[in-house]
Amino acid sequence: MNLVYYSAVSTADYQMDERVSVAHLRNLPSVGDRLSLGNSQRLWTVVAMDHYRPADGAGEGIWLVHCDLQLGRDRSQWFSVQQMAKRKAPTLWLYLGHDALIQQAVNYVGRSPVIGKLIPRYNTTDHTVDSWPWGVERVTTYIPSEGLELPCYRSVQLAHCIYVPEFATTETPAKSLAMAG
Amino acid sequence: MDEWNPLTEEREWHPATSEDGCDAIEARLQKMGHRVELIGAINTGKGELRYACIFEGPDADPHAERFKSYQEVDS
Repeated sequence: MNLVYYSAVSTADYQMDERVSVAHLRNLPSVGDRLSLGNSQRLWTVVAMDHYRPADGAGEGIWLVHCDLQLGRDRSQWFSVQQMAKRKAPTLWLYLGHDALIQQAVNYVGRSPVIGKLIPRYNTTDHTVDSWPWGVERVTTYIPSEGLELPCYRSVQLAHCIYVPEFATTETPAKSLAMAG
Repeated sequence: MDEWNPLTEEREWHPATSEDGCDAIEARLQKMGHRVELIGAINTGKGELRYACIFEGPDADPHAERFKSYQEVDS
């Protein structure tokens, strides 16, 4: 099985019902395939597929499937590729629980998800943060395979998470950043 | 497993519609003279402002309300 991560070339292109996703596939998609990202009726085109191999050499790698609404956009114009030149070490974080994607993030300074911590959950409407009932148990690192030109990330970090039912309740109110002091 | 602790948070968070938006907020904060650096962006996958942009630096303040409108500031 191949672990595949679908995302848009430009994060500004997502509509409300579109999002990144991961899948475990026996057969990989191909460049030129048309697919949806979420529940939208729009069809995106697979414009590139990047392979990242395990940094420790053990196990399978991960495929980043880049989707775009425009055809012919030069890779050097992609936001993530430009960030590689601008930032210290862009790193893609994928939090996985029971093989499903819980949350995705980018760290621009090369850090890894912290083992033993619950995943922070940011509520963008009221500017509060609480925790997902999922905690990081271990992290595996993937680096660009040989021959990949203009990679989008220095590395991909898979945070393997376990469910922590003690924190599944919603009785504890979200903690406000503004009120934290 | 440890929860996220707001009492020890030293980073500054702002919502944005995209990663490009985080980049733009960083440019705006720096133009305002704040010594902050964008160190991460969390994709919540929800709503219009689906990205949480996280900033660090000497001027990063988790309690700052930098982008309030004049009406909110006056009230």
